[in-house]
Parts: sequence; structure tokens; C-alpha cells
Amino acid sequence: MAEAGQRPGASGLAAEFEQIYRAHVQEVTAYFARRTADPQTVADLTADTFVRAITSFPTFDPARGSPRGWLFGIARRVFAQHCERVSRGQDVTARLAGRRELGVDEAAELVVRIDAECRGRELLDGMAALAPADREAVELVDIAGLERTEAAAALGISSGALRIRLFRARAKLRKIVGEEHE
Amino acid sequence: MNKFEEQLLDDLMRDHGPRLAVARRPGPRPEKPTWIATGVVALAGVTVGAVLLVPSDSPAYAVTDNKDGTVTVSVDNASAVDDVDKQLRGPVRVSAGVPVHCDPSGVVRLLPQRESLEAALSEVVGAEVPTRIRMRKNDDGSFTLTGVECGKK
Repeated sequence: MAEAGQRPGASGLAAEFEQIYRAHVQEVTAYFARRTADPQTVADLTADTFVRAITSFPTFDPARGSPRGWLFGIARRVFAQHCERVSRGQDVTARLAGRRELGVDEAAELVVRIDAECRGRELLDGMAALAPADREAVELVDIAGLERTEAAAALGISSGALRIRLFRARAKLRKIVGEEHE
Repeated sequence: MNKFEEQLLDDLMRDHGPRLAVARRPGPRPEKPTWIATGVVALAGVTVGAVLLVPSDSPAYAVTDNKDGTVTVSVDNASAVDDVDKQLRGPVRVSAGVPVHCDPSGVVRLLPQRESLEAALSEVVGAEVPTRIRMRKNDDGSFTLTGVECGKK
């Protein structure tokens, strides 16, 4: 039987994927909205993430980690590749090569979502003093709200390594805050 | 969900849904070797030299300067690696092929090249596993990782 909100007739892995999509698409959209204020880019990156996710979904093993950690792992790779394309000036070309342009209503709704992540973007900017790897760990755990095991899976590191990064990042942030109050 | 998210789901299901509906996951893969999860027990090793223990309020690691110019670092757990980095006052280089003795069956794994000690150890050491790390001190003040043994202090 289809879950609440699920389209009738969805079955097997398709139904399972739809459930995961509905549970996490807003978090993934928010992840990109913390990185860019351009609705079309947020839409493209979110779409890229879920196209990759649905393509590889038969190989996803729920016994080895949560769907959320898996999705965020894909999302961060999508963003890293996006940054690489931008740095090479290839982003416009990629967009012209077949991405669906947002409708006015869709863009307006995404702007609302992007505005909602304004505080998250400020927090990320405020952590500029941290190493990128440490900043990413803090974002996934403290801003995106991932469990530590999920964040470790998303980052492709062990829980121990994640703990080191969090410890180091928080110590540095405490030091920065302390210096600002002196 | 907003319109974009609903439309994206429609597109995904239209393009991939039929294939996914009849797809099956492959059978269970072999479990990870136990040593990755537990990281306990290791091969015997010999360390010579004087042990310079850090103050007792930071007992998570110890640095040993060996007579042959090498350095042995013993950490109580992976979280202490950051403190070790500070103590060494020099970057640790991790070249490909460093032997790792963390498999209870005795299999020696060779590390790929990594950018830092933390990155290297995160792949082989559990969070609460005492580990002995061997390094060579270089003339320029840096260190080169030469070996890792789990279950050793």
C-alpha cells in the first residue's frame, strides 16, 4: 500500500525511493540554499543530486547507513563538481546543455527557501576561519542536524575522524568567540 | 514540498520509476573485515628509546624519541591525533605504502598516499583503539609516517 502522500501505483524500490525523497528533499535543497542564493543553481544542484541518487538507488544498502547520510554524500560531491565547473567557467555551458529552467512560481518558492537559510549562510561565512573539512563537519552536524554517523558517512570518513574534526572546529570557534569578547 | 520539489519528483519517477519498480538490490555483500569495526588486537612490535609522557592531565598520547632518529607516538584513541600534531611541531607526511598492522588475522594493509596523519588514521583506526604510530624525523622538521599498529600503546 502506498504511504501517505505517495503516488498510487508506486511499488518496489520506486516506492522506497519516493519515500526517501519526500523525507529529505527539503534538507537537500536547504543544503544548497546555504551555499548559493541563486534559485536556478539551487534547483540544478538539487536535481543533480536526486538524479544521481535514483540512478544508483539499487546499489544503496540501507543496512550500511541511513538514506540521509547517503544523500548528503551525493550532495557534497555534486557541489564540489559544481565548484570545479564554475572555476573553469563551464557552468553556463552545462546549464544551457539541457537543464530545465525554473518557472516563475517555482523560483519564487525557492527564494523563500533560500531566504530561510540566510542564517545558515551567515553561520557558514562566520566559520571561514575553519579548515574546509572542519567547517563541513560542523555544518552537517550542527546546522543540518545530521546524526554523527550520518555526517561521517556523508563525508566518507570514520566516526573517529569526524569527532576529531568537530572537536578541533569547536575548540577553534570557542577561541575565536573568546578573543572577540576580550 | 514546493512546486519545484513536486515537479522534480514527477520527472524522476517518469524517467526512472518504471525501471526502479522492477529493480532488485544485489544480494548481501561480504561484511567489512572485523578489524575495521573493532580495530583490536595487533601484531607484536618492538619500540626502543625513552618515553616522554605528556603531563598526566592529558594522558591520551605519548611521544617517544628513539635513538635511531625515529619517533613513536602512542595514542589512546583517534581523538588524540590532533594533539599529537601540535606536539610534533612539524607536518606529518603520509606516502603510499605505509604498513598498517590493524588486522587481527595478521594481514598487513598498505596505506595509500594521504594529505595528513588524521586522514590516514581515520581509515584504519577506531575511535577508542590504542594505536602506536611510527614516524621518521626529517631534516626539515617534518615527519614521515612509517608504520601503524593498532592495539598497542
